[in-house]
Amino acid sequence: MKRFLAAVAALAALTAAPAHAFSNKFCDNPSNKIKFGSNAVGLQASSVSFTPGFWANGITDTINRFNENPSNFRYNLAINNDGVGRRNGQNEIWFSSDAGALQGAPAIAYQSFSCWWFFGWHYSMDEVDVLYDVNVGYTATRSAAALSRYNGTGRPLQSTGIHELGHGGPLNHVNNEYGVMGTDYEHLHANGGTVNSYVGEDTADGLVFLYGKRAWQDVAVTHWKYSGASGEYSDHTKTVIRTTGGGALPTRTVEGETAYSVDRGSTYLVEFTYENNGADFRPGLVAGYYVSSNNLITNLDRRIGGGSWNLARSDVLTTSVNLTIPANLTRGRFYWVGVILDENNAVVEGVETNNATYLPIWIN
Amino acid sequence: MCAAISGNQQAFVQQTSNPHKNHMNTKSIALAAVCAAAALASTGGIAWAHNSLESTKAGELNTLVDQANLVATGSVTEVRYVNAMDPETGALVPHAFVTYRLEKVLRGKTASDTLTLRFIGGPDGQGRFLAVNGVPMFQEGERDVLFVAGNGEQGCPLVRCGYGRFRVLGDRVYNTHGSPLLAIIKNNTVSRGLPPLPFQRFSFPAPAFDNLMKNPEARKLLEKQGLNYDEAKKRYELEAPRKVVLGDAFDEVPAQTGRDGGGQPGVTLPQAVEILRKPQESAISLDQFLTVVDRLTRETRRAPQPLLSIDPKAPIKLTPFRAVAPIRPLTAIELREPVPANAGPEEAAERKALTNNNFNPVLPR
Repeated sequence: MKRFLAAVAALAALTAAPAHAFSNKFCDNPSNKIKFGSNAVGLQASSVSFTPGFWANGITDTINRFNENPSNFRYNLAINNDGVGRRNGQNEIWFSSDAGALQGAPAIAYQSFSCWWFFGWHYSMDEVDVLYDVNVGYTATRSAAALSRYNGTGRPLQSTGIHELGHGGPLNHVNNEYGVMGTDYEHLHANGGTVNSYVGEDTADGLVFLYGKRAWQDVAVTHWKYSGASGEYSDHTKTVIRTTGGGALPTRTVEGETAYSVDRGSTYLVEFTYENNGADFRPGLVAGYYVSSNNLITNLDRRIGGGSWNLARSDVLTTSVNLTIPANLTRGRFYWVGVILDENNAVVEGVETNNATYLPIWIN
Repeated sequence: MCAAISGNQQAFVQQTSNPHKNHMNTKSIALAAVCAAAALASTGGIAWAHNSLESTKAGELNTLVDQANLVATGSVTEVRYVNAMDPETGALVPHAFVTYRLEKVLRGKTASDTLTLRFIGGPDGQGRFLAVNGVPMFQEGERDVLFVAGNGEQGCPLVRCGYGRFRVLGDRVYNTHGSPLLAIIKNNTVSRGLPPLPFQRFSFPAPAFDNLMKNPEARKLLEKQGLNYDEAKKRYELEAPRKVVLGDAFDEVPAQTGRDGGGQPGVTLPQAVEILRKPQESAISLDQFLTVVDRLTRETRRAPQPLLSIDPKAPIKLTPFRAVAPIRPLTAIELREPVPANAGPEEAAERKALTNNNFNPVLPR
């Protein structure tokens, strides 16, 4: 039987055609954007699920991270034991063991909205309920050692929560850009063994589109990037280090992460993803590149390069820079190549923790 | 234990009319296998819903085939919306009964050439809509390839819910979200790109006036506008659109617009993996898709279980939502700060300085 479809060799990179980013819902025509009628909506987290301490702190962190965005929209969290229910007029979030309610998903959002005509169109987002599957290995820790895309097995409660609450926007899934409305547990920021979930540029853009923006700034750099579409979800992978010709390097593993084998004194292409998660275009952002003896990147580390970036809101930038590995590093050990964005603290930011990240290297 | 709620089940039923005719353009088949090796690696990692912690993947057609009790192509002849009622809140919970006229059955058997499936979600007939992420919506006239696991046990009868549906438009195949199916590689489907316009819109019957007036917001408007009920009803029935259209809008931005850029002494590479946007012509044909599916149905070993059509008049059993507590014990790693055990004094000092600096990595020197 003839095989109609077969893989072929590598395809050249980008087409010139545009990619779509955030996606929202409308009623009858695109100008009737479905959204909550208020910029601040209540969200009740069940105290049965989010017990005091670890889990309550985790869901609080989730909502705090969600609210770190330049739109006017935010959730006001209350943790209580008022019960949960379908279409009861309350936005709720809880752990569930009901396979029928979860539809087999590790987390799911139930969206209720209105769209009706009565001598004019009337439309609104009315309610979002978010269910986490209690049988999935969620964790609320921010320690990379416990997380599945680093050195552990847990799935971040926070990134999934941000994703599902994005459906409360309501925003749809995205599969053409790095964003939390894609594969959320690969939309993370890491530095020094701490991993943080965040809304990100594309979802922030969607929320601004629906709710308008406020004067809130944030620029960030991450070692994750878009790698393709996984159904309706963007798939993400770690950024990489390559030869100056774009060739692959040998790798090792350190603390669950890929380390690139490099030679002292040689120059390589080092890739990161830069984001403007804030309200306004930021030209001339100063970046410093460093090498560190550990995965914690600060300006106390050894600086090996610098440059500047112009970052618009609404478009994630994954790109590479030439960096030369210092000739006097010790052979036969790991180091970490890092970047600090807004190195001169020129931007007054709502979040400063996401300005630095790293990629591991091994010195041949 | 499920609560049988037939006594409370609201008998609101609306039937779609004016079939949505898909625009059929016959295109010459131009098979383009388009994926980069890197893309292949990523599509090998296709995850269902959010769950990449499982080893099985949604894109694996062999898994879809194996878990299906029925694999068939068909056209939607009727979509009927029925409200169930939440046994605790009393809220209306709409469900869609979707009847297919089956064209070709590749796996399993049905009693006849029609099959009615039940999905949670849809309009409640009073102007409101319930959407459950991952549960697809259907319109009369649509044509699909279905991988059906069960029917009536849960809110979505398809294998892995939405992933168990491939849509057909003009003899080309698209995934459940309307992205063109570009290739099948080692039994993994690769779908990319914007949905064609028919898949970006979803329509359903507008509520009847009397039902709309059960919506408190609509009732308020009637009273606010000082309208006489009967007069308003007459006008509504003359002027109101017959259908309500919901749509998905996509923000189209260039992948690299030049709005982002560097004034820095580095070399910028194109992105390692393409952001692909292909015209509809690149979607594979239904024949090509079914050839692969047919082969997989012959290879799979599990015998399909009988599948029954569902009666829209049968009671819909809903269990109340219940919150539960996480039961697994927390690990030591989760409970401590993310500081390496072997951190030396220099690193400890660096971390302390970072904490004192509100985690801004630009530390005072």
